[in-house]
Amino acid sequence: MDLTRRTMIRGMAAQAAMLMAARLVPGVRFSAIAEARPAALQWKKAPCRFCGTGCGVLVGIEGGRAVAVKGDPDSPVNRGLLCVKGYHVVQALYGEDRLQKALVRRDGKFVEVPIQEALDLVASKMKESIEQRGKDSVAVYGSGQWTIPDGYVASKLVKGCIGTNNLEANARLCMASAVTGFLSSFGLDEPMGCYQDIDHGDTFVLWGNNMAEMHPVLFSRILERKQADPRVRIIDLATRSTRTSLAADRSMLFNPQTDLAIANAICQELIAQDRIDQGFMERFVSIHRGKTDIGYGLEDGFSFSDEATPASFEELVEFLADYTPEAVAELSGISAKDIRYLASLYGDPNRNVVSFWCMGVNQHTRGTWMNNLIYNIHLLVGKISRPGNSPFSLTGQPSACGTVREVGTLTHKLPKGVVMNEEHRQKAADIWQVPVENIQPKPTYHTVEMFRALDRGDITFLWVQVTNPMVTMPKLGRYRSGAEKEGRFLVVSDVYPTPTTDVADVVLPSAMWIEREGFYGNSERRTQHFEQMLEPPGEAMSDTWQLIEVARRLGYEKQFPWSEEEHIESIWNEYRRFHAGPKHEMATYEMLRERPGVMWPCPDGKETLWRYNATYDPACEQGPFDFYGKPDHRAWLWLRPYEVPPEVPDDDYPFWLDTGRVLEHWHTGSMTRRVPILHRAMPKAYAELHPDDAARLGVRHGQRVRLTSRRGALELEASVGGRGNPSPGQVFVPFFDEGFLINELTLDAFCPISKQPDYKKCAVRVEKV
Amino acid sequence: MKEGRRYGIIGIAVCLMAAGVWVVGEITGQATSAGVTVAASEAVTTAPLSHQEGQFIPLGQPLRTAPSPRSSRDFDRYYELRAYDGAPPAIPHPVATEQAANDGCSGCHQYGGWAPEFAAEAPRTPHPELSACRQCHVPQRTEELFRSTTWQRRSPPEIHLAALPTSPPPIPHELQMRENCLGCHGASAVPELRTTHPERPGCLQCHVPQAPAGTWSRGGGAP
Repeated sequence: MDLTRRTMIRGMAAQAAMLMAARLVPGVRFSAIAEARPAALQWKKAPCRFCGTGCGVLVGIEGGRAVAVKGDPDSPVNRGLLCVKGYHVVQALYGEDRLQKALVRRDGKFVEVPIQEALDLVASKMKESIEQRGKDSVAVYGSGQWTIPDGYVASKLVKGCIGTNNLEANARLCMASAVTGFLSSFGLDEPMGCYQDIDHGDTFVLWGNNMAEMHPVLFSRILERKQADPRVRIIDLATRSTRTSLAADRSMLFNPQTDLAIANAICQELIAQDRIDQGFMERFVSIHRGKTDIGYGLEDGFSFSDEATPASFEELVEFLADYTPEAVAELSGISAKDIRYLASLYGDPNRNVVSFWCMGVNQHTRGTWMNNLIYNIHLLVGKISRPGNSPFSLTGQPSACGTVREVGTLTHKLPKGVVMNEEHRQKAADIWQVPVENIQPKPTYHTVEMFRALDRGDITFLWVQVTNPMVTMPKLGRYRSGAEKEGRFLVVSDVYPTPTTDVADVVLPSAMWIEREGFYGNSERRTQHFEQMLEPPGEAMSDTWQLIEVARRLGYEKQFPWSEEEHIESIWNEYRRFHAGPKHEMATYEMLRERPGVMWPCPDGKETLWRYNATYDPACEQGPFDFYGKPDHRAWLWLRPYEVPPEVPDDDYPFWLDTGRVLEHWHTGSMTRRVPILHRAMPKAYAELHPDDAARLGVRHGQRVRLTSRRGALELEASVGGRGNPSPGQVFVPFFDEGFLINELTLDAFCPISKQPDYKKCAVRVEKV
Repeated sequence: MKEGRRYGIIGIAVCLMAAGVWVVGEITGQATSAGVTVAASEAVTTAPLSHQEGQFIPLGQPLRTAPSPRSSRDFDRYYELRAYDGAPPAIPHPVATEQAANDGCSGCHQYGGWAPEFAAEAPRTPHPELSACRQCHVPQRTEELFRSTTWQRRSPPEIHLAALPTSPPPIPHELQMRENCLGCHGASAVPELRTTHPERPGCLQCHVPQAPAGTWSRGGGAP
């Protein structure tokens, strides 16, 4: 009190003195004192909340609120630049309808309850389900927006304590094929290179990746690279003409699914033209054949496991004989000349080639194969694990890599390794301090099958965190009605009301992003820490703490002993133990707090920029390359054929339907639509048509059309000559708009190896309304 | 309390001194304005001298950027287009196409200037090296919101904070992404932000970024 009064009197005296002094010397400002604000603007670092690029942002905090953003000039990811979502990311915190109280459904209506009471209910319902129907009747479904501690405590609770493998995340819908691609080709997940490949590369081949809209900051980095070096070439391989196509040197539009054939044709041409790196192939690559005609997973309980049989180089040549540029030109719709041009770029010893891909390749009923095939091209010419020579799989979510892939919040995964492996289970049990028998050796349900199990009633309790499956599940109608069925208990933790909270029994308000402390991990193996900068609104609580609260109610105090103040640091230190060693060492907590992200492996405090290359990677036991993820220390080249998709356009449903994102919105738009500038720029979804198709249907831009598939129908406005331009016979609809649920129409077919659904291809009818 | 009293005494002392000087100031001030009037009436045939108030002599060069009388840009609108000071502004005019990330943006915005089709001054980009304009700048197709927001806009920085009437004002904002000063202060700028001397390239020679609020101290307990 005394202090306040003294400060006040001093302030008043200073003001009086200054006022007088100002009269004394007219025109002179005594600004230092006059402008001493009560709370000065403070800049704090965080990774952006939105995509998997992992841009460093500096958040301006003033008076307990986030008020501004700038790109972190120290971040090696974005070097000070952001995109329109990133520049407005803090506004996503301030939607008026932020969930601040827990909601419980009583007699069909939501009632506000204190959060502790809601957590009691969640724990008791979980217990009830386990007692009545067994451990495998409860499930947790998270996302690639889970921070690392969120995913880690979820895994510890579900797999270690409860003892079920019913843990999945929405990254199954976006990154699973990339994971199985990496595992089958290299034995270890995540890219060998880093974003610096852009600075060292001169040829960028984008496989079904509209980078200008989906990874705009990285695309700008490529454009800057191009300005600096006239030799740079950007090739856009896609089924639809986009902003990326227009900025590229060459745009090649192919028929859906034929990317498999194009990749094989490039390999065929490389061998035919004797462009391959024989020495690299002999020393560092082994060739394998997998199963073919592997199905599409359309039926409940579908199962598949691949089998590798060694193959010779001659067998590879024989296998590729079907994929001459001419044969593939006819199938794919891109000319033999273009295929040869692509091969000449990949095969040019004076060019450094980076291939980028994301959803086009991953959301594919042969997604794992497509990933393998791109690696095949790079392996044949030895352009891998070297600066500027890099097959680079991009991610879509801020911590798809950090949480879902590295912590392993998928049914078959553990923070290190897989549940099927006894050693891995033992390691997890030791660190988690649980009996090893707790950890079940058999994976249960992948995401699509998990929602099918919910529909069937095999799962009766589901807890969803940070994701919106009632917008994003393919063939949505079935899974929504499944979730709404009697006897299913659905808990949803989120920050805003969504179509998923609409069908919940309990809604828990979550603390969002910088309202709590956490870590994300981006596409280039970079782990990024952010501190708590703001107080969460109302009773909102971090997803990590919600899980801990429930775990304790279930009797697992011993495994979750941390205090609220230090739990994030303790969790990080415990989690790090899983990855100790030169192949995956994670940075220390102190280092992460300090720096704008640190790439793993980070043994002895040194980041590994290019894995498997002895010059850069201390884990290599031999040089110059050591693909140590595989027992034979070689990268695996796979024979993967072209196979048709499960549903193709016919007389009744003559169009291909492709779904995806737009620059302004991120995923289902639950955050970005609450940012004024973003919503105003892109207020609603639309159906993009080729001008010829539109003319034939008599539809103009802005008129309504009805899209109908075998699973559902949707009316929305046509976009002709709008943002993108699909090839004739295709229609594209973005999925951000909960008012137009395009996933009512999509097909729940998936890649049998990765179990990732294909959102890019199904058959629809288009009619003028 | 002791310290407070001391400040009080200083305050009163300064008041008294100021009161005395104020009288003197009033008298000399009158004299000064009278002097200017005389100088202006004499300057019919000869160019005004550079030390004279309100005059600017561009060293024999023609002014390349005479303040435009037809400028349509307005300071409030300038901030309306930005979520906060330093945010990329929204595009306030119709755009020809959605398809390209840069479809002719640089035609008007690379150097800025009068755009007759919009009857408006096109601002010049402060970062012409970045070519994917639509990565950060988006048009606004509706006034409506999806859900209302509790976002509080921070008041824009004060401008014209020169320490003396004749001294160059310091820079009240961040320089990141705004390295090219003429982007916001050149000929096509909002009148309040327009420089009078665009021909001088070394802006940072005289205008320096404003230090954060607070007083500098030596630290470490050194005398």
